This record gives sequence, structure tokens and C-alpha cells, in this order.
Amino acid sequence: MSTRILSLITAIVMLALLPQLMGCQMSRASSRSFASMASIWSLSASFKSSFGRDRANLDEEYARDLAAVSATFVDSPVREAALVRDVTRVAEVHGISDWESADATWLGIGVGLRQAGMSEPQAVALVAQVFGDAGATRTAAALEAQ
Amino acid sequence: MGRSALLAALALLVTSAAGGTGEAPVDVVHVTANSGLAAGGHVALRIDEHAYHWEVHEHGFLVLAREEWRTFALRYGTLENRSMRLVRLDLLPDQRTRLEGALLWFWRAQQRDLAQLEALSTERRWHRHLEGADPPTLAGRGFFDRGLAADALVDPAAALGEAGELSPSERNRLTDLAAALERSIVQLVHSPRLDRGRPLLLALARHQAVMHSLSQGRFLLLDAISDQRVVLDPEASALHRDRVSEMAARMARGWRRERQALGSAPLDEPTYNQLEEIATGVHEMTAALEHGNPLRARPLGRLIPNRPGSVDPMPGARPLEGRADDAAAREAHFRAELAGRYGYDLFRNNCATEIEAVLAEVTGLDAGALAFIPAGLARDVAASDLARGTVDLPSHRRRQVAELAHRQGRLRVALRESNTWTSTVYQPSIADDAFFFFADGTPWTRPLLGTANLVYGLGQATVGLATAPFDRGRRAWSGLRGAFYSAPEMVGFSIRKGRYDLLPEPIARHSGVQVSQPQ
Repeated sequence: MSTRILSLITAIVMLALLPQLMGCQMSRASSRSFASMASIWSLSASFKSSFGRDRANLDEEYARDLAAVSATFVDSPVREAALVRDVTRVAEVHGISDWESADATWLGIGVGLRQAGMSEPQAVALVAQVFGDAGATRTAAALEAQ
Repeated sequence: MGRSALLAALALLVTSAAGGTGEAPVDVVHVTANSGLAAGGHVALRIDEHAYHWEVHEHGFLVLAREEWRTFALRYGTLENRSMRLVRLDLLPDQRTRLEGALLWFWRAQQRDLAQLEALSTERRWHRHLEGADPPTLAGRGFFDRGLAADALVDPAAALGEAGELSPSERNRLTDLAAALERSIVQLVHSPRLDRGRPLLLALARHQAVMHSLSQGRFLLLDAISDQRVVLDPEASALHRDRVSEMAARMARGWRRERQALGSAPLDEPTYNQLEEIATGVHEMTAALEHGNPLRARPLGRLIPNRPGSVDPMPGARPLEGRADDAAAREAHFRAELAGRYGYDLFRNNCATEIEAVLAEVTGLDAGALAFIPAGLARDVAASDLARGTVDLPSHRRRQVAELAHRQGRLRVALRESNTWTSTVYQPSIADDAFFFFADGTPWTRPLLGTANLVYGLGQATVGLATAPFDRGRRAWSGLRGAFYSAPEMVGFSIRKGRYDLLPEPIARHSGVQVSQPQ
């Protein structure tokens, strides 16, 4: 009898310990549970406000973020559509959909390409190839302003 | 200051920050276990202001997430109430650059793959549509229905029962914004950008929203939630009315605060988007609270409005024979390919193995056999030559208890905060299982506290049998889960820590997460 109880307790403990091995959070983006939804809504309410913060700081965060991503463009086999979508993805994280209009976009891309070892003319040429001449002009202007 | 001067100042800031990245912290972050998702813990890499970590998504792929460190810390350290250990790495500048580059490279490649899968899925839906199925949707199309759709706008002032009249200063800013949107629309029409359709539709819809605001004299903003399908059962909202009510109050405070803070700054896109987000939150919570509307889910991060809508650009077109099946086969083939590339595996392909692989590649880390477990990887990294030191970030509850003990006396606070009934810093989550004692403290107390928790859980389960007809077995199930997670406590392991449904105040009132930084 006591062996049976011990086995039962061991089985329960083993079962309970199994999750110890299971790491990695599951994405809660589409969770329908109230707790998950409530936590994400409450988290969103605490997101840093754009207001009351220096506009230049927000632009700087965006440009730095884009520079980090753009630095990896150099080794990419140039696929225009893919690189454009990469910029879109980063810009949307910062609340920007029309990123062509933002000066910080061209500065971020230019700085990123320079960080990756490109010369200014090389960086501007790559921008022209992927994003068009208008983008290249603005990138050149942003880099020259440094 | 002119535009060129501003750009020059910004360039200086960005390049000086970029030049200093060799000093930015790089940590392996071990997130401890808790009941629920990722019960065995989690592991991430923190590089400067970003956390990189692999999560299992609903489609079964292991996806690299890149998010702000602050958001990561709030999710895991506060809402999930998990303690974290940061193992700071001593990397050469070149190693740091290569590490971040490798992560960003993978992130870009994987996001492209997932976008490609989505594109194949859309192609299949187009062909099925020609065969008679519903047409696929187009992002941004849902805002329009012979002009702006009636339900495309949210009205925060009406939701809050306020007049919400625009001030002269707000009117000026909205007028400037309308002019900026008009320029943006023209530029986007002529843009070489291949994905310009969505921002163009958004700019058109926003322009309409701004014009409505000006004509009606109060803020009317686009509904920022795109996916209308993921909704919560209204019964659940009713059941947890106190939480919804609290969220509604927070959203209302947030809206007033944001509006007050508008000041004299120009209303540019990120700023306007912030208004859209908070206005949508106000609308959502008020509609759930006052009208019993189903609460819609929102994803993490910024909400860019892009409500999808059906579009049929080829009315009367005939199906192309066999093309729908071909498209479906291509999609299935690519999905299988991605499953092979990104599929989750408990032992060979998880959040820890991916980080181990990238560290091994960049730094030559030689981790042990247990590095596929988050705790095992963190231990191996801490013991390696790479580690410069460790810093422990206690969970939210433990931080609060420590602060109270400092102010109110150790014994008194320890006794009061030891259990879920008398604790003042812990409000039980709806998702928590039934337990009485927090057993995440001193290890030698765990068997005793775990036994008490087991008895408590079984007791709740027994009572739950009687209440099952009234609560659909919630109490019974919670009791059983509580008993289950008590078992490891009885042998000295603590998994369950409790968690929070809402970001506890006062964190929610402040803009920044208060976590101590390693030196």
C-alpha cells in the first residue's frame, strides 16, 4: 500500500516537474483569455507617450533603430522589395507608416550603411538603387549634415 | 531652428550613440519559471535597449522577437511576476557587432519568410475567390464604404460623456496635420515604394478623420484595432467587470493626460498615432463596460490602423483552371519548408538552443548538455569566460515586499505578505490557480508551504465540485491546478509565483519601467 502511495506521489511530482523542461513563452498576440488580453491592454496604457518627450529623442530612437537594421543591408543580396519591407517593419514599431517623409529615415539608413563600412558614395548609391533617387538625395544631405 | 540644423543635431546624436555601442550592455537574461505558459522559464539576449528572444507562435514556429527591453521587463518581470537573472557578457566590440548583426540578419530573414507565407496564402485565397469563395481582404480597405465607413472612427469624448471641444490650438494643429497628410498622399501616389498601398489608404483615411474632427469640433480618430475577429466572450467581460472598469479608468486618465500634453508641438505621425491608440482604448473599454460589447484583443506594440476590407478588383473574372490547387500546393510546400526551418522542438530547437547556437557561433561558447533548458544555458554562460558578472532582478511582488519590509518592519511584512489572503501587494490573477502561500522564498520552507498549498488546492477542488453548476467548474479546475503546482514545492522546487492581470499601479502611471540596471 505504502509503495503504491509513494509511486503515486512520485508520478505526480514527475508530472509537475515536466514543465520545468518546457521553456519559451508562447506568443500571446492572439490569445483569447481574459487575463492575456487584459495584461496586454494594461501594458499598452503604460507605453511611453510621444508627448512630453523631446521630439529629437524620438527621432533619434527611430534613426538608431533603423541604423542597426540597415547595417545588415550591406551583406544582403539586394532585393529591393525585401529591404523596403524591412524599413516599413522598423518604422511601424515607431508609429510611422509614411517613412519616406521622415528625415530620420534617411539619416538612419545612411548612418547604418556607413557603420557597416560603406563609403558615403557607396551608401548613397545603394539607397538610390533600392529606394530611388529622392531617397538618395536626402540620405546624402543627412550624411553631409554630420 | 531650421530643418537642416535639426537634421544636423539629430545626425550628431545618432552617430555619437552609434559610436558608443561597444559600451552598450549585452546580457543573457534568464527568466525564472512560473505556472502557465513557458512554465519552465525563458531566456533572452539583451543588447542595449532591445531584447531578442525566441517565442513559440500559434502556428507552431519558433519566431525571433525583437522588442524594447523595457516592454520585455514589464511583460515578464511585472505582469508575469518572474524574477530574472542577467548574466552580463564581456564581449569585444567586434563580437558585439557580429552578435547583433547575426540576430538582426536572422530576424529580417525570418520576417521575410513569414511575409512570403502570407503572400502565398493571399494568392491562394484570390484563386479560391475566382472559384466562388469570399474575396481576400486588403489592409486599409475596411476604412472606406462610399467615403469613410460609419464605424471607422472612435469618439473618445462621447465615450467619456464629455464635450471634448477642440481648443483653438488643437484646431490649428489639426489643420496643419490635414495639410501635411495632403502632401503625404500626393507623395505616396508618386512613390517608388513597392508597399505604398497601405500607407496611402491610411493617409486618406486619416485625412478624412481630421476633416471630420474639424467640422464637428472634437477629436474623431481612426479605430486602431485591425483584427476584428479576436474578441473576448462578453460573459467574461461581465464576470471580470472590476478589471474592465479599472482599465477604462486608466484609459480615460491616459486620454486626458495625452491631450493635455499636446502643448505646442506639431502633430506629426507618431504623435497622432499615439492619440489613435489611446482613443481606441477608451472606446474599447467603455463599450465593453457600458454596452457589453465584446472586448477586442490588441497585439503588443504600436497599433497602426489598417482595418482590412474585402475588395473585388476583377468582378466577373473566371477561375483559372487548376491554379487554385497549384497555389494551395505552393503554400503547403512552403509552410512545410518553414516548419523544417523554424519548427519548435522541446530538446533541439527552442529559445535556449537558438541563443546557445548564436553565442557559440560568435563567441565560441561551449555550453553543456543541459543548455537546452533556459536555466542550464544561463548557468553555463555564467560559468564561462564570457561572463563579467550577474545581476538579479527580483519579480515585481518580491521587489514590493522588500520595499515594504524596509519601511514597515521585516517580520510584520513577511507574515502579511506570505499568503494570497492577506497580501497587500498581490491581487490574484484571474488566470492563477488556487494557492495560499507564496513558496518562492527560502528553499527549506518550500516542502512545508507546498504541503499546505496542496491541501488548500484539494480543498478548493472539493468545494468546486459543489459550485460547479454555478461557475462551470472554474473553482474545481483552479483547485486541481493549484494542487498540481504544489507538488514540486513539496520537493523543494518553486514554479508558481502568481501573476498580475493589470500592470500594477504606480508603474502604470509612470512612463518608465523601474528595474535596476546592472553595473
